[in-house]
Formats: sequence, structure tokens, C-alpha cells
Amino acid sequence: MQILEARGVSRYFGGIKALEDVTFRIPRGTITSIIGPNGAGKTTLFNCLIGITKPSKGAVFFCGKDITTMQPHEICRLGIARTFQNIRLFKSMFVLENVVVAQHTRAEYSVMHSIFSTKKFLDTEKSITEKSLEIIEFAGLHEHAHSPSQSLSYGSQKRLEIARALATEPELLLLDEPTAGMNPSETEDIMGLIKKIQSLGITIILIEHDMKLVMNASDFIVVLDHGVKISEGRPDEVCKDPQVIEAYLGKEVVY
Amino acid sequence: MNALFAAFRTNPMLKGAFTGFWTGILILPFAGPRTSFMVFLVVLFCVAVLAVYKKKSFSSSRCSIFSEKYRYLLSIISSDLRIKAFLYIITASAVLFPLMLTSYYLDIFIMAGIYMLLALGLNVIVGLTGQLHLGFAGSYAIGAYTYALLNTYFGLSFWLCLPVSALSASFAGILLSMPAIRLRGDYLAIVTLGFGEITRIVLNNWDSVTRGPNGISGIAAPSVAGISLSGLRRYYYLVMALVVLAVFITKRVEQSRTGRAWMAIREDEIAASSMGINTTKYKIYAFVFGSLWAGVAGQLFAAKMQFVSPESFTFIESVFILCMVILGGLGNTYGVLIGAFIIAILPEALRGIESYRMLIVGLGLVVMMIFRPQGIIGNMKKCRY
Repeated sequence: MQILEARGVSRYFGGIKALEDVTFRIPRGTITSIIGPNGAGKTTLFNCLIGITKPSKGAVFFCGKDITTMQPHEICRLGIARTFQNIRLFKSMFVLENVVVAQHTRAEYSVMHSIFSTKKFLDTEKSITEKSLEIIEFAGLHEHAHSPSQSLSYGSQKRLEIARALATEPELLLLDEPTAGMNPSETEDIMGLIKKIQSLGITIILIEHDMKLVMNASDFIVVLDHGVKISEGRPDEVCKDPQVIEAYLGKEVVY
Repeated sequence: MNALFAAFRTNPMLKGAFTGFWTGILILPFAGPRTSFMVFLVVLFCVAVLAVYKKKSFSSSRCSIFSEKYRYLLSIISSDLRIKAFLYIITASAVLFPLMLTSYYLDIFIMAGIYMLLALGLNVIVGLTGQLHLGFAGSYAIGAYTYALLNTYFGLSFWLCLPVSALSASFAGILLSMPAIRLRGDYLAIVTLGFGEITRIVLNNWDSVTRGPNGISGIAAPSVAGISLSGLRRYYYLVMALVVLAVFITKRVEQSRTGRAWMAIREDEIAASSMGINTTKYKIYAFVFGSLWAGVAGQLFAAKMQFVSPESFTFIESVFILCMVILGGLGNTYGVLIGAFIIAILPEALRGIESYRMLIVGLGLVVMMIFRPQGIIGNMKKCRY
């Protein structure tokens, strides 16, 4: 049973074809990596999946529902969350606040409830605060819960982004280069976190350059090059695909 | 020679005396010897205190036993508690003040109260949501004219008109937010500026309804249970009551999911929308909620003056309100109240040097932006959880 399906997704920026007819299916509960050289269109693909940019052609289905023309906040409500390649935290907020904000859609009360500070308001606030603390602990940031998000180290900020995405209670989590700029031990930690998230039953799509991580962690791999899907399959299959080798290493010259 | 310079730079008293002397000399031709001497003393005192304070905060970063104790004490009196104690003192004095003030000061304080409402409203739009609004006087004018027209044409009472004024200003906020939600930064500033000017120009030229530049006079003052509130002292209490109500409601909304959504939009719009926040909706909410207080303030202004004309709602008025918000600290509700109070009071407090008072207000803002860009109490924010 697939959770996400992209059907012929294309995205053109003027004459540039950032994505051309990309089709793939993501089975529920798996970790899928999207790899490809720089400029292959990986982040554009993410943006199309989450509604930040609309595909020029094609359609995206989430749990069988067409989400192609939906707004990002509607898609988030349905259960897709993402992190960003260049960290986009709410900088002037505290760590806990960042996570609490992300529970926006899970806290349903009107302005009137907050003005009169009703029981519903207090209960909801209490429960989302507790939930947020749990998520922060899950992401291994419990020591920093009450510090400003800007004071965190780069690695912790990446973790906080993941925690924030988790706070929206997603079924599908898109991680855009979660280990970029990290040393091997930090990468290992993030790897553990990703596995932990998978064990919660959340499907994960990963954009990643760290091949060791990609090969170890992912159940499936989709390879993009110049906006076109050139290969897909299990890690060991993709490794051997001559087109993938060509995209990464160049063509074999035959004398 | 160098030693002398060094002494001027390091000795707080010398430094203060030097700065004060020059400021005094500069003001002398305009203000006469007495005022310039006063200015000399004030500057000397301020500079000296600042220099000492700076030195102290520098040395306290070293781990002496004294500073350790001092810091411990400070942490006990947490900033939240300090703000609360401060608030009680302010409220108590706000209640007691009018009993001992002359009507001149009461008048200023009433205007300060009206500006506080305006600053509170603008703070929601600029400070919390991060949408630069340069035409806030437009919403203010709409509130004032709604009451002026309804009262003079139909004789509707103050209390009946209050929600109408608030809602009509909010409705104008919705209209403004329609183009505004599509825009960002400089473009948004231009559109909001246009909104303010359009409002003023319409009021100025729609002679048949608004009587153009002549304005509308004979607006009734409010009354409660047959007791007129036209007296300054009573009116002062009315304004203060509304300010307290506004602070209460704004604070509650700010600390709810709505307020968090506003702040998320201010910090990063794309991230906010990916976290499930409907950015369009919440930007409109901000404009509506902010303009609401401008409508209330406008009605209070009209009822106080018993006269409105488009002259009171120029661009410079919008800029003043924005200055209050920036001076107090963007996004800090209590800060903008202080900012509003200072900017409303300052021109009156500086009457002694008459024509140069605006110069000093401007200078003060420049100095503020250089040394404390986050506003007066901008950085006292503390994690609420």
C-alpha cells in the first residue's frame, strides 16, 4: 500500500526544466532516499510534494488523495511534514516554543477560548506543552528545551527542525539533507534518530548526499539527474545501475 | 595630550561633563542659559550613570563572589515577577495620578492613553506578525469618523458606536489585507502607506458627508447612566479602563495559538506554512485585530476632542505610532505601552525648548536605534513554559 504517489510531476522555471515527468511510489512505513548530483531537482521535488511550488504538470497523491493544488498548510494538516536544507527555525523563539508552534493544527480552540482562558484552552495548552516536551526528549534535546533556539549548535538545530516537523504529527516526513555539514559521529546520531522515527510507523523520504547513510538506511532509492528520474529500486540494485554510475562518475570511455 | 583624551574617555564624570558641556553650548542660542544649564546637568548625569553601569556589567561577567550573590538574587526575582510588580505600581499610579494633576497634565495623559491603544494595535501587525504598516492613521481616522458621523447625523450614543467604530476599522483592515497578504517588505510598506493617504484624502474631499477639511464638530462626549464623562478626570478613567481591557485581551490572544501563529509568520513564512499555519488567514487576522484597537482609539479621540478633521490623521501620525512600537520594543506588549507613553509625553515635556523639541525626539530615536535597537524592554522575553 503506497502512502505517496507522484505521477509525471514536472516543474519548469521559464525554459529550465527543473523536473521532467518524475513518477514514483512510496510504500508506507519505509525509508526512501532521493539522491542525485547537485541541481538534480531534489529540493524542487520536495517543494512540489508539499505545495510550496506547484507542479507545472502531473499530480501528487497522498493516501490516494490528490494534493497537487493544495496549500502547504492543508497538506501539513493531512499529515506531511518536512525539514529544510538550510535551517528555517523560528529564530527568536525558544526551543520549546518552536515545537509548540508546530502543534498549531492539533490545538483546536477559538480566539474566544483564549481571551476568556476557558478550561478547554488551558487543557489544550497543557497537553500540547507536555506533548512538545516529549517530542523534544525524543529528539534528544531535553537539556535545551528552555534555551533560545539560536543558541543551539548546528547539529542540534537540525534536530530541532526534525522535532518541530514531528510535532505536526505527520504520517510522512520529508527530510532535506538532515546530515549536511555534520561529522561522522553526528551523522550516526541522526541516523539513529531517523530509525527511531521509522519505528513509530512514520514513512520517511530523505534527500541525502552521504552515500554510506543512504545505502545503510534506505529501503528504496530514487535517483534524479537533471530533473529526470534515471533509476529506482533497492540500494544494491541502484548501485549497479550503469546510468547511476554515469551520472555520478561520468561515462566509461571505450578505446 | 593622549593621557588627557584617555582620561576623558575612561573617567565617567569627565566624559559626562564633556558631552554635557557641548550639548549645553549647542542649545544655548536657542534655549537661553537656564535651560542649557539644565541640559548640561541632565546629560552629565546620564552619561556618567551609563558609563558606570557599563563598567559594572563588564566587571560582573568576571566571577567575583559579590556578583555571584547579586545574580542569584536577581534570578530569584525573576523577570516575570519584576514585570508584574512594575505593572501593579504603574496601574496604582495610573489610578491615583488624576487626583493630583492639573487638567493640562490630564489632557496629555488622555492622549497618551489613546496612543497606547494605537501602539497596542500596531504592535500586533508590525511587532508580532512582522507586516510593516505605514498607514495606521487610516484605521484610526476610520474609527474617529465612524463615531463622528454616526453621532452627529443619527445621534447614536458613544457605547452603541464603540463596537461599530471598532468593526468598521477592522473591516478596513480586511480590505487593506487583501492586497497586503500578497506583498512583502518594501512593497507592503508602500501599499499600507497608500491606504493611510487614501483614507485621509477621501475624508478631506468627500465634502457632502465629512464636511471636508472643515471637519465635524459638536460630537457628543460619552456618558454612563446619565452621568456625562466629558470631564477630563472621568474621561481619563474611561481611556485607562479601555487600555487595560486592550492589554488584557491582546496579551491573552498573544499567548494563544493565534499569537504563536503570528510570531511564526514573522520569523519565517515558508516554515510557518509548512507547519500547518494558514499564513493568509493569520495575516488577515492580524490586520483585523490590530485595526480594531485603532477604531476604538479613533472613537476615543473624536469623543475627547468633540471635533475631528482629516488634519489629525496625516502620514506623520502613522510614523509616530510606528515610532512608539519600535521604541518600546517590537512585539513586546508592555514595551510598546512605555514607548507610546514616552513619545506622547515627550513633546510636552520638552516645551521649554519649544521649536527644537521635535529635533530632540528625532535625535532620541536615532540614539535609541544605535544603542538599543531591540527597544526599551525588547529583550526581557522569557520562555513562558
